Amino acid sequence: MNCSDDTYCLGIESTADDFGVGILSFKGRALANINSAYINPEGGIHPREASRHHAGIAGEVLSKAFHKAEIKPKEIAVVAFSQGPGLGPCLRTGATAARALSSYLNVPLVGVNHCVAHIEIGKLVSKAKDPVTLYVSGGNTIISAFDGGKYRVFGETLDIAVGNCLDVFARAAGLRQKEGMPFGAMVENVASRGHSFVSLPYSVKGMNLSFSGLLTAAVQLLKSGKHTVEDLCFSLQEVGFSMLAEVTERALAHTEKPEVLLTGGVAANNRLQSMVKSVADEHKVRFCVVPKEYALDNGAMIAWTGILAYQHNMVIPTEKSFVRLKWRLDDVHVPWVES
Amino acid sequence: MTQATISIDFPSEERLKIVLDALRPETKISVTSRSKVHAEGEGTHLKLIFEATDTSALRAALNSYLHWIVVINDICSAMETTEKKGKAIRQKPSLTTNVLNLCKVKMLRISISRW
Repeated sequence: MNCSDDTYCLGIESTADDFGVGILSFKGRALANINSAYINPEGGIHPREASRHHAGIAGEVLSKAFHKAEIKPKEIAVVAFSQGPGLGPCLRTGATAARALSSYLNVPLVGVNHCVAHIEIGKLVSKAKDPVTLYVSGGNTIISAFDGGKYRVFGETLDIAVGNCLDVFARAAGLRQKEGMPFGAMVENVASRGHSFVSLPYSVKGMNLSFSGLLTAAVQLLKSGKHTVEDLCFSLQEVGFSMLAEVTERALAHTEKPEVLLTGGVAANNRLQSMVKSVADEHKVRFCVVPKEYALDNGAMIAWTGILAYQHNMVIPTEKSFVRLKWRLDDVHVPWVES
Repeated sequence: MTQATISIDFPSEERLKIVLDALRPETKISVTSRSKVHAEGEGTHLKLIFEATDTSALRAALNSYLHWIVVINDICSAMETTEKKGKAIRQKPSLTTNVLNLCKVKMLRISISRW
């Protein structure tokens, strides 16, 4: 198997609102990472409309990726795609595009777990080797670490993801999403002007977390008009992120791993970064965070994980490349971590 | 029960093979029990047979597959233009026109029946 720097993998990401194409060399050099986000003016993601967005821009994003990478299609050795977990219509559109590309180029196809991809791109860009990972996004909130051939889940949300909590609160507060400015970034911006802490429910259950009660309480207080949006955003972040920091700290104490990796879309939040860093400093472990370009959903992370899987012969036949809507992180065997 | 058949002629057997490779896994898993799709190809000719419990389910399945055919052809067009080092031309007509134009299809026929 050729694993040189002039062998490339093309990755397609389409689990939710982003359609992305990334092209990486087998040595981990990113040549292109082009994304297009579906934006609903009302907020939230309508799965069918998001899939229509993906269908409409797939060819254009692919062209831009090749233009940016400055390579020819025949130089692609493998095509990877996000096989799950995610929204059905979005996953199926991305999978269809990946199968078509794999068939057109006559190269193997690799299905990638989206959660594993967030961890692997984090390890690649931050040079982490064996971290406790806090993966926080609009769809997932997972505290994990590698053990026995898989990324084990030490804690996770019992209801909604922390990113979803921030998004829904932002919508309730009348904020509107813009291109390149997700709701989480807006909440962070508004929170920076908050001064008074408002008491909100803190819900850590064992190693798991719950954000729905926190969200309901914050929205109710917002509607009561007794507190400013700034103070509520500030308090929402403080409480939600403290919960995340607590569980991460316990996972760190239990596993005694040498690093903490913060990944996923919410990893771009500076307040969360500072909290997790203080946990890492206290335990004298290395703090690693994924840059924003690779923190949000992107094709590069799929391409990189596709390379790792391909090098361990985890190719899937096209006729069996079904999407897996509820594919858990701890269901995925990751042989490349051991070797 | 409602049935619809879509017949499309593609410009080459190679293009039809790509379309079938991309679509066939989707025909083998049904998201709901309300519709099922069968895909078959011969030469340059694609035939998609839809069966649904009601017209809403039939419309949803038809729309999904037509959009995927557009995606497949967009991907192939993007590759062809990239290979020629040209810039991909993005067309944005209606879905049916898009299918007809981008597939360079010789024929697209949709027939619907109910029993």
